[in-house]
Amino acid sequence: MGKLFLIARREYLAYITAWGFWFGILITPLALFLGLSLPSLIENTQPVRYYAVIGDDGRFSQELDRQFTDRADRAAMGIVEQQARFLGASDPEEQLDQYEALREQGRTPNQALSDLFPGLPSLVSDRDFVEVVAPANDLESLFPYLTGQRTVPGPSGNRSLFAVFVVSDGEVAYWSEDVVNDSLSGTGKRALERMARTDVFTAAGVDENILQQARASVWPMSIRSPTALNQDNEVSAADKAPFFISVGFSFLLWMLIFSVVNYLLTGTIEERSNKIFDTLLTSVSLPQLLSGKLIGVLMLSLTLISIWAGSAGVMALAMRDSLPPELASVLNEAINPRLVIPTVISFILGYLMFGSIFLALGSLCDTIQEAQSLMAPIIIIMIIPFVIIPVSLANPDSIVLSILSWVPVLSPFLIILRVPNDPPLWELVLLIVWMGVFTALIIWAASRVYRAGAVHGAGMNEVRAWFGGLFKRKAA
Amino acid sequence: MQHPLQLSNVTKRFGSFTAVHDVSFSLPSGQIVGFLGPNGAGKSTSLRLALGIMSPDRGEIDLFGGPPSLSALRRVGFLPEERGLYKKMTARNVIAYFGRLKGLSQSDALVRADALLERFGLAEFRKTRISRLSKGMAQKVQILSTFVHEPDVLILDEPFSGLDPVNQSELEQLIREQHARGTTILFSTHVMEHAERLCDSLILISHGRKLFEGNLAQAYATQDQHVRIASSMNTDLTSTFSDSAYAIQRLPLDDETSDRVWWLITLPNGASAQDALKRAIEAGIPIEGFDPGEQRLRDVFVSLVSQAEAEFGGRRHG
Repeated sequence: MGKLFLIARREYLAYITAWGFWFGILITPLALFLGLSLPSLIENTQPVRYYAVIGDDGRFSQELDRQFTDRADRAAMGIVEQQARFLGASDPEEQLDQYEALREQGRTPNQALSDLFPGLPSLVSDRDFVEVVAPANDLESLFPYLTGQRTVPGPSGNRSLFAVFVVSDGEVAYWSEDVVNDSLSGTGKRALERMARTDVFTAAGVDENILQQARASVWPMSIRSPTALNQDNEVSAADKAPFFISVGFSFLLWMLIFSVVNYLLTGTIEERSNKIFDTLLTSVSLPQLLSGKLIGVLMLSLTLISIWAGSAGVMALAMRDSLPPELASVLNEAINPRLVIPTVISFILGYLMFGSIFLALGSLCDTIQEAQSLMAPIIIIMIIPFVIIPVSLANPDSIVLSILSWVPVLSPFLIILRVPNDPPLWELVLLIVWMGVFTALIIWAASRVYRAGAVHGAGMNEVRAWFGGLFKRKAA
Repeated sequence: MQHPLQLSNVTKRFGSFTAVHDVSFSLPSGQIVGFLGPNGAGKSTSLRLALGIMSPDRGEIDLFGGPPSLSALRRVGFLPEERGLYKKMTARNVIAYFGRLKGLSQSDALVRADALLERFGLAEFRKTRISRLSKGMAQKVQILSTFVHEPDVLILDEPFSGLDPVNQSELEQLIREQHARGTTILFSTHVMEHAERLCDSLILISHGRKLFEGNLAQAYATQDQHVRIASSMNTDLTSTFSDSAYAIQRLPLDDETSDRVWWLITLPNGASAQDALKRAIEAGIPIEGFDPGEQRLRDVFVSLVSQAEAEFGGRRHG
């Protein structure tokens, strides 16, 4: 026990005192934040792009403009509703009426939002497509403007044209050098659909105002569930929280396991390349060495979790009075034992499973380059949960997800995703037992490989020879 | 005489390759024993077997009265041939760490690490990381970490390799100090001069087989002893030695203008160089030169290994 502690302690101290570990602790939440906020940041910082319409009597241009305005309003009204609910200060309907009143006074969606909620950052992206007067009326003359050779004046200065709509009888052609971005062309299509609808209804004698009344009189639909937590069974964020939290936990587990098992890989490669094994093996047994290393890095990852969880807890406590009720219910779910217990078990077993594999690989390699060639199949396995996790949020009952959760190398990540769907307890227990049995098998196999590498100096040549023999046997 | 380590008919194969074949030897308590052999002879494998790092396919190993166990290994210090330490640890911590793995308490390990570093001129580097030490200094730290726990048996695999002459001399001194403390020492080498200077007895292996076990005098006795005597050109020593167990042979002239001739005389068992010289003087031979033909372990080594090559070469596979 004493030697196990010494090995584990050395491993732990070797990494905990390294600046890279602390840098990793700080950089991971930052990377997560950037990963989550970058897509909207990219969208919001998109420069204004100009488009022109030729051959139009003005109707198509107007309809395009209305589409852009409607889109901004829909986004802004969604924010109004959210803010009203989160702050719990007033009735959302009342706030929406106030927003509409401000818009009628000529305020832009962002201005109306900041009037209603002072201090709120600009959440609705400004118009990123602006119509300018076409510098020529024939398409060929406009080509230099589309290819960036010439510019046109506009509200954001002189710029080339992003696109030109050429309206002719019964057809609209969309010209642009950018063949990937279909945002503007899509808006154009929706404008044409609305124009066609209006034309058909008008031809049938239905007034435009009646159409608007029809749109406004659509019945609201509430989303309810018999298992919803609210008294009126209306689904709230608290009901969705387990699903989001399970996905979050699963991602966290994936990230945590694959960041710490790398320590085991590099540490073992260091011991092999520095020829420390023989010295160690005259003082400790091979199982002690293997277990000590696994425990040391496990302690390291628990430190990592404690720091992250502790920081999150401190932040939540500090902000407890200002947290929106929905967010508070999501955070409550994060400490629900129903999710936390399977997560902790999955983490420990997943760590032991992949940690042993990485230890075994490290014992066969003298350099990281050698390890990389052996890791290729492991990396493919590692990517599978990464792909499955986001998909599972939309399809938590999928039979494929249930089957895949029985694949031992995927179980640690997928069990957590199934928990919010309340699988039978016996199935959950059986899954955990199965995962435990497989982990024990992996540790046994890894210790044999580790012995071959650490004691007998087996390396890449032996691995190649083994695989070669395998294929020869198959060919025979 | 007690034997802290004993190997009996030990064989180790790796696939079809026999690394160690039916090797038996014992380590007499309190002695310095040289474990000699050419590269690839099976020295390191034998030592790893002796320490229980790997198990033999056949034969028995007895370390302090039983098979190698971690409790027995607490009394052993081992310096492997392929050396290395944790590069990010400091010199002091690495010595103390290996001391602790051998059962020392934290405070004892640190006190002893400090004392050893002080004693071997590394005190100023005690808080320096191994990666920042020179190769020689790092090697010294590793050697110190093998006897920080004051073992009863020291097993050193090629301890002198990679050290400069000054450090080699320091290591020789260190081995003598440990020996004086009562430690039994087994060290492998293929540098015969170290073995001649340090060892009480020798074990020679080649092709995975033990060729010799005994002291230096016994090693020399495995070879014919020769002396060289020079006489004037017109003197013939053949008749002086031909009527006895001596064998004599006239050596070719080094120089055509030389006025003397050298004779190579092979001594019979039990005869000394002085006996041959006395016989020549008594026969009235005008002696112009005498070379007592002092024996070197190197010659014994080359001779025995060559014989083994002729006998066992190519027989380690299959």
